[in-house]
Amino acid sequence: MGATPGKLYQVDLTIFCTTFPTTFGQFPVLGLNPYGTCQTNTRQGVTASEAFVEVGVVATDMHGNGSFKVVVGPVPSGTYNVEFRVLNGAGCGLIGGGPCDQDHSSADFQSPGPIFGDTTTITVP
Amino acid sequence: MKRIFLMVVALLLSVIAASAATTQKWTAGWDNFSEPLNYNKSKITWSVNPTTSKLSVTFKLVGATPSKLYQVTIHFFCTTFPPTFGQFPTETNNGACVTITRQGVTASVAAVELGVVTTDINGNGTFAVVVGPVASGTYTIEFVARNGAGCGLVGGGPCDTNHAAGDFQSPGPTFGDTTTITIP
Repeated sequence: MGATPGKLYQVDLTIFCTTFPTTFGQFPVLGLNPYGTCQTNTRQGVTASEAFVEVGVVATDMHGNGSFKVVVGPVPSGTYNVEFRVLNGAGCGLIGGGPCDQDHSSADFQSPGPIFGDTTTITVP
Repeated sequence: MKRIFLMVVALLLSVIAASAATTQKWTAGWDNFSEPLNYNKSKITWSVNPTTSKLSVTFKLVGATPSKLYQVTIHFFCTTFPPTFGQFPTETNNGACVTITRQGVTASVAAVELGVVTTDINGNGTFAVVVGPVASGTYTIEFVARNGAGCGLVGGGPCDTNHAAGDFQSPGPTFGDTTTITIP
């Protein structure tokens, strides 16, 4: 609600990890190093290892409002420490959008936040 | 009393009939004809709520290119068109519908970009949107899935052939084959 009107925001799950499988449900996992190790990044002065799952795009209307719903699965049993992200455009890690640059792949919004590495725990029994 | 009851039942039936969902298939084009898709399982489902004047549309793609963005639109066949359709801006030439030629057919259209279907590793994805309230009227339209995302919107790819071309149309199979949507 109240975002930039007429804009594409790619939404993803940032999963904090040391190693991770190549898929999460029906989606590919991005940002893995060889042998499945998670990529180390520093944001807001916090360094952590992470992998990404790009699950879709929110397109906003002329009021800057938009929504997107997705069902992911089946997901392997486990406990996942995640942050949800909203990127500044659409196309990074996907075909048919903009390039994977600052204008499209930088994170505009995070949840829970307010700091990179503040996580939500999702348990899949 | 019996007459009133029958009138209420008739009214309810007419509302239900007006709100009934319509399902229609995708066809190839109107620009690209080799994009993969399971045409039997892919579909568009839409309905009009006559009370709220809102149009609900669900776009479903099955067996398309994996991990790809398909921007979905409504193209209106028109001579002039208002600047908005529900909560979305429309693409016109200062209110005049734009003449284009596809598949040998020339027609004037306006477009509204509704959102994006993102496909998974199997090439499957869905996107649902509620548009409205929409001004009363009869709209002659085609649904389109573009070959990427960003045309007419901020934050995607450029409005070029690689992103804006029509991969799938409905009803089709030819540009100008239309669906009529009536908003009471």
